[in-house]
Amino acid sequence: MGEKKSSKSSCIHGQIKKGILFIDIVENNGSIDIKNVHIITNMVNDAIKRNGKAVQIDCINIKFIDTSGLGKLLAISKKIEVILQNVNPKIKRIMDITNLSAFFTFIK
Amino acid sequence: MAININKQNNKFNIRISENINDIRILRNTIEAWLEETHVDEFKIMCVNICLMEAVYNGFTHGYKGISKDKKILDITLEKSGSDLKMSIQDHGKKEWFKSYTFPPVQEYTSPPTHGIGLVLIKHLSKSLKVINSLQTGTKVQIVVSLK
Repeated sequence: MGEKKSSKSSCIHGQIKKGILFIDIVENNGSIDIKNVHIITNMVNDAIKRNGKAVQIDCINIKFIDTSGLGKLLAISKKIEVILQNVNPKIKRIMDITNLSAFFTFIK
Repeated sequence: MAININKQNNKFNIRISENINDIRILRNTIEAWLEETHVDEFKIMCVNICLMEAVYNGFTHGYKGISKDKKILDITLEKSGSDLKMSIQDHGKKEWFKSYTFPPVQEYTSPPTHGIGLVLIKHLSKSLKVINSLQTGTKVQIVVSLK
Protein backbone atom coordinates (compact mmCIF):
# COMPACT_ATOMS: atom_id res chain seq x y z
CA MET A 1 0.00 0.00 0.00
CA GLY A 2 1.42 3.35 -0.96
CA GLU A 3 1.96 6.26 1.31
CA LYS A 4 -0.96 8.60 1.62
CA LYS A 5 -0.37 12.32 1.60
CA SER A 6 -2.89 15.02 2.13
CA SER A 7 -3.01 18.73 1.88
CA LYS A 8 -5.51 19.79 4.51
CA SER A 9 -5.83 23.35 3.35
CA SER A 10 -6.92 22.38 -0.15
CA CYS A 11 -8.49 18.96 0.46
CA ILE A 12 -6.18 17.27 -2.01
CA HIS A 13 -5.26 13.68 -1.21
CA GLY A 14 -2.64 11.66 -3.00
CA GLN A 15 -1.66 8.02 -2.74
CA ILE A 16 0.77 5.96 -4.74
CA LYS A 17 -0.25 2.44 -5.68
CA LYS A 18 1.69 0.26 -8.10
CA GLY A 19 3.50 3.17 -9.66
CA ILE A 20 0.41 5.34 -10.14
CA LEU A 21 -0.23 8.46 -8.09
CA PHE A 22 -3.94 8.67 -7.38
CA ILE A 23 -5.14 12.15 -6.53
CA ASP A 24 -8.56 13.01 -5.14
CA ILE A 25 -9.71 16.56 -4.73
CA VAL A 26 -12.30 16.51 -2.02
CA GLU A 27 -13.97 19.87 -2.29
CA ASN A 28 -17.49 20.65 -3.48
CA ASN A 29 -17.45 22.85 -6.59
CA GLY A 30 -13.71 22.51 -6.53
CA SER A 31 -11.21 23.78 -9.02
CA ILE A 32 -7.69 23.20 -10.23
CA ASP A 33 -6.33 26.71 -10.35
CA ILE A 34 -3.55 29.06 -9.40
CA LYS A 35 -4.29 28.49 -5.73
CA ASN A 36 -3.84 24.74 -5.57
CA VAL A 37 -2.16 23.40 -8.70
CA HIS A 38 1.26 23.67 -7.04
CA ILE A 39 0.11 21.05 -4.53
CA ILE A 40 -0.59 18.63 -7.37
CA THR A 41 2.75 19.49 -8.97
CA ASN A 42 4.61 18.80 -5.72
CA MET A 43 2.82 15.46 -5.28
CA VAL A 44 3.70 14.50 -8.85
CA ASN A 45 7.36 15.46 -8.45
CA ASP A 46 7.49 13.39 -5.28
CA ALA A 47 5.88 10.44 -7.08
CA ILE A 48 8.35 10.69 -9.96
CA LYS A 49 11.21 10.40 -7.45
CA ARG A 50 9.57 7.19 -6.29
CA ASN A 51 9.43 5.92 -9.91
CA GLY A 52 5.84 6.87 -10.44
CA LYS A 53 4.75 6.28 -14.05
CA ALA A 54 1.41 8.04 -14.13
CA VAL A 55 -0.89 10.34 -12.19
CA GLN A 56 -4.62 9.77 -12.09
CA ILE A 57 -6.71 12.70 -10.91
CA ASP A 58 -10.32 12.13 -9.96
CA CYS A 59 -12.05 15.26 -11.20
CA ILE A 60 -15.53 14.33 -9.96
CA ASN A 61 -15.57 17.41 -7.73
CA ILE A 62 -13.83 19.73 -10.18
CA LYS A 63 -16.06 22.37 -11.66
CA PHE A 64 -13.38 24.65 -13.08
CA ILE A 65 -9.79 24.52 -14.34
CA ASP A 66 -8.11 27.83 -15.09
CA THR A 67 -5.22 28.45 -17.46
CA SER A 68 -2.70 28.04 -14.64
CA GLY A 69 -4.15 24.67 -13.76
CA LEU A 70 -4.32 23.56 -17.35
CA GLY A 71 -0.80 24.79 -18.03
CA LYS A 72 0.61 22.86 -15.10
CA LEU A 73 -1.25 19.70 -16.07
CA LEU A 74 0.25 20.01 -19.54
CA ALA A 75 3.70 20.47 -18.04
CA ILE A 76 3.16 17.35 -15.93
CA SER A 77 2.10 15.44 -19.05
CA LYS A 78 5.58 16.01 -20.43
CA LYS A 79 7.00 13.99 -17.53
CA ILE A 80 4.45 11.25 -16.89
CA GLU A 81 1.07 10.14 -18.17
CA VAL A 82 -1.81 12.25 -16.88
CA ILE A 83 -5.08 10.38 -16.48
CA LEU A 84 -8.13 12.52 -15.85
CA GLN A 85 -11.08 10.68 -14.39
CA ASN A 86 -14.66 11.92 -14.34
CA VAL A 87 -13.90 15.17 -16.11
CA ASN A 88 -16.75 17.64 -16.35
CA PRO A 89 -17.96 17.54 -20.00
CA LYS A 90 -17.68 21.32 -20.26
CA ILE A 91 -14.05 21.24 -19.21
CA LYS A 92 -13.44 18.45 -21.71
CA ARG A 93 -15.10 20.52 -24.41
CA ILE A 94 -12.73 23.41 -23.75
CA MET A 95 -9.75 21.08 -23.99
CA ASP A 96 -11.13 19.66 -27.25
CA ILE A 97 -11.65 23.11 -28.77
CA THR A 98 -7.98 23.92 -28.24
CA ASN A 99 -6.61 20.49 -29.21
CA LEU A 100 -5.19 20.04 -25.74
CA SER A 101 -7.07 16.88 -24.84
CA ALA A 102 -4.59 14.87 -26.89
CA PHE A 103 -2.10 15.08 -24.01
CA PHE A 104 -4.33 13.46 -21.44
CA THR A 105 -6.01 10.11 -20.97
CA PHE A 106 -9.67 10.39 -20.04
CA ILE A 107 -11.51 7.72 -18.08
CA LYS A 108 -14.87 7.56 -16.32
CA MET B 1 -6.73 45.57 0.53
CA ALA B 2 -9.82 43.40 0.34
CA ILE B 3 -11.65 42.93 -2.93
CA ASN B 4 -14.14 45.72 -3.53
CA ILE B 5 -17.21 44.68 -5.52
CA ASN B 6 -19.81 47.19 -6.60
CA LYS B 7 -22.84 46.05 -8.59
CA GLN B 8 -25.41 48.27 -10.20
CA ASN B 9 -28.06 46.87 -12.53
CA ASN B 10 -26.21 44.71 -15.05
CA LYS B 11 -22.77 46.12 -14.34
CA PHE B 12 -20.01 45.23 -11.94
CA ASN B 13 -17.18 47.53 -10.94
CA ILE B 14 -14.49 45.68 -9.06
CA ARG B 15 -11.16 46.64 -7.58
CA ILE B 16 -8.92 43.75 -6.65
CA SER B 17 -5.41 43.25 -5.34
CA GLU B 18 -3.19 40.27 -6.03
CA ASN B 19 -4.64 37.94 -3.45
CA ILE B 20 -5.46 34.40 -4.49
CA ASN B 21 -8.48 34.15 -2.19
CA ASP B 22 -9.89 37.40 -3.58
CA ILE B 23 -9.36 36.15 -7.11
CA ARG B 24 -11.47 33.12 -6.23
CA ILE B 25 -14.11 35.38 -4.70
CA LEU B 26 -14.17 37.33 -7.96
CA ARG B 27 -14.67 34.18 -10.00
CA ASN B 28 -17.37 32.82 -7.69
CA THR B 29 -19.18 36.17 -7.67
CA ILE B 30 -19.34 36.33 -11.46
CA GLU B 31 -20.36 32.69 -11.67
CA ALA B 32 -23.20 33.21 -9.19
CA TRP B 33 -24.40 36.31 -11.03
CA LEU B 34 -24.46 34.59 -14.41
CA GLU B 35 -26.14 31.49 -12.93
CA GLU B 36 -28.87 33.69 -11.47
CA THR B 37 -29.57 35.03 -14.93
CA HIS B 38 -29.68 31.50 -16.39
CA VAL B 39 -26.59 31.78 -18.55
CA ASP B 40 -25.48 28.40 -19.89
CA GLU B 41 -22.83 26.71 -17.71
CA PHE B 42 -20.41 26.36 -20.58
CA LYS B 43 -20.65 30.07 -21.32
CA ILE B 44 -20.03 30.86 -17.66
CA MET B 45 -16.90 28.76 -17.83
CA CYS B 46 -15.78 30.62 -20.95
CA VAL B 47 -16.28 33.95 -19.19
CA ASN B 48 -14.33 32.88 -16.14
CA ILE B 49 -11.44 31.40 -18.09
CA CYS B 50 -11.06 34.60 -20.10
CA LEU B 51 -11.46 36.78 -17.03
CA MET B 52 -8.99 34.82 -14.93
CA GLU B 53 -6.40 34.83 -17.70
CA ALA B 54 -6.70 38.59 -18.10
CA VAL B 55 -6.43 39.06 -14.34
CA TYR B 56 -3.32 36.88 -14.07
CA ASN B 57 -1.72 38.69 -17.00
CA GLY B 58 -2.56 42.08 -15.51
CA PHE B 59 -0.88 41.24 -12.23
CA THR B 60 2.05 39.34 -13.69
CA HIS B 61 2.98 41.49 -16.66
CA GLY B 62 1.45 44.85 -15.82
CA TYR B 63 3.31 45.04 -12.54
CA LYS B 64 6.48 43.15 -13.25
CA GLY B 65 9.06 43.99 -10.60
CA ILE B 66 6.49 45.73 -8.41
CA SER B 67 5.73 44.52 -4.89
CA LYS B 68 2.51 42.60 -4.42
CA ASP B 69 0.87 45.17 -2.17
CA LYS B 70 0.99 47.76 -4.95
CA LYS B 71 -0.75 45.66 -7.57
CA ILE B 72 -4.32 46.68 -8.25
CA LEU B 73 -6.68 45.86 -11.07
CA ASP B 74 -9.89 47.68 -11.92
CA ILE B 75 -12.39 45.41 -13.58
CA THR B 76 -15.76 46.08 -15.11
CA LEU B 77 -18.25 43.53 -16.37
CA GLU B 78 -21.40 44.57 -18.14
CA LYS B 79 -24.09 42.76 -20.05
CA SER B 80 -24.87 44.24 -23.42
CA GLY B 81 -27.62 42.37 -25.22
CA SER B 82 -26.48 38.77 -25.45
CA ASP B 83 -22.85 39.68 -24.84
CA LEU B 84 -20.80 40.21 -21.75
CA LYS B 85 -18.22 42.97 -21.99
CA MET B 86 -15.25 42.80 -19.65
CA SER B 87 -12.52 45.33 -19.05
CA ILE B 88 -9.42 44.59 -16.99
CA GLN B 89 -7.25 47.62 -16.29
CA ASP B 90 -3.88 47.62 -14.60
CA HIS B 91 -2.09 50.80 -13.54
CA GLY B 92 1.39 49.47 -13.96
CA LYS B 93 2.48 51.95 -16.60
CA LYS B 94 4.11 49.27 -18.69
CA GLU B 95 3.16 48.54 -22.28
CA TRP B 96 3.30 44.84 -21.73
CA PHE B 97 0.89 43.88 -24.46
CA LYS B 98 2.23 46.03 -27.26
CA SER B 99 1.43 43.64 -30.01
CA TYR B 100 -0.05 40.24 -30.21
CA THR B 101 -0.98 37.65 -32.72
CA PHE B 102 -3.24 34.91 -31.68
CA PRO B 103 -1.45 31.61 -31.84
CA PRO B 104 -3.57 29.35 -34.04
CA VAL B 105 -5.19 26.23 -32.73
CA GLN B 106 -2.92 23.63 -34.14
CA GLU B 107 -2.14 20.00 -33.97
CA TYR B 108 0.42 20.09 -31.22
CA THR B 109 3.23 17.56 -31.40
CA SER B 110 4.08 18.16 -27.76
CA PRO B 111 2.33 19.93 -24.88
CA PRO B 112 2.57 23.71 -25.37
CA THR B 113 4.54 25.43 -22.64
CA HIS B 114 3.08 28.91 -23.02
CA GLY B 115 0.50 30.87 -24.93
CA ILE B 116 -2.36 28.64 -23.79
CA GLY B 117 -4.18 31.57 -22.23
CA LEU B 118 -4.30 33.50 -25.49
CA VAL B 119 -5.44 30.43 -27.37
CA LEU B 120 -8.25 29.97 -24.91
CA ILE B 121 -9.31 33.62 -25.05
CA LYS B 122 -9.25 33.50 -28.83
CA HIS B 123 -11.57 30.54 -29.01
CA LEU B 124 -13.85 31.29 -26.12
CA SER B 125 -14.47 34.99 -26.72
CA LYS B 126 -16.02 37.11 -29.43
CA SER B 127 -13.32 39.77 -29.37
CA LEU B 128 -10.19 40.94 -27.58
CA LYS B 129 -8.84 44.48 -27.63
CA VAL B 130 -5.81 45.80 -25.79
CA ILE B 131 -5.15 49.46 -25.07
CA ASN B 132 -1.65 50.29 -23.94
CA SER B 133 -0.63 53.45 -22.19
CA LEU B 134 2.57 54.26 -20.39
CA GLN B 135 0.66 56.85 -18.39
CA THR B 136 -2.36 54.85 -17.29
CA GLY B 137 -1.42 51.21 -17.71
CA THR B 138 -2.90 48.51 -19.91
CA LYS B 139 -6.58 47.85 -20.45
CA VAL B 140 -7.74 44.52 -21.82
CA GLN B 141 -11.27 44.40 -23.21
CA ILE B 142 -12.89 41.06 -23.86
CA VAL B 143 -16.38 40.36 -25.19
CA VAL B 144 -17.91 36.94 -24.62
CA SER B 145 -21.15 35.88 -26.21
CA LEU B 146 -23.56 34.48 -23.66
CA LYS B 147 -25.73 32.73 -26.26
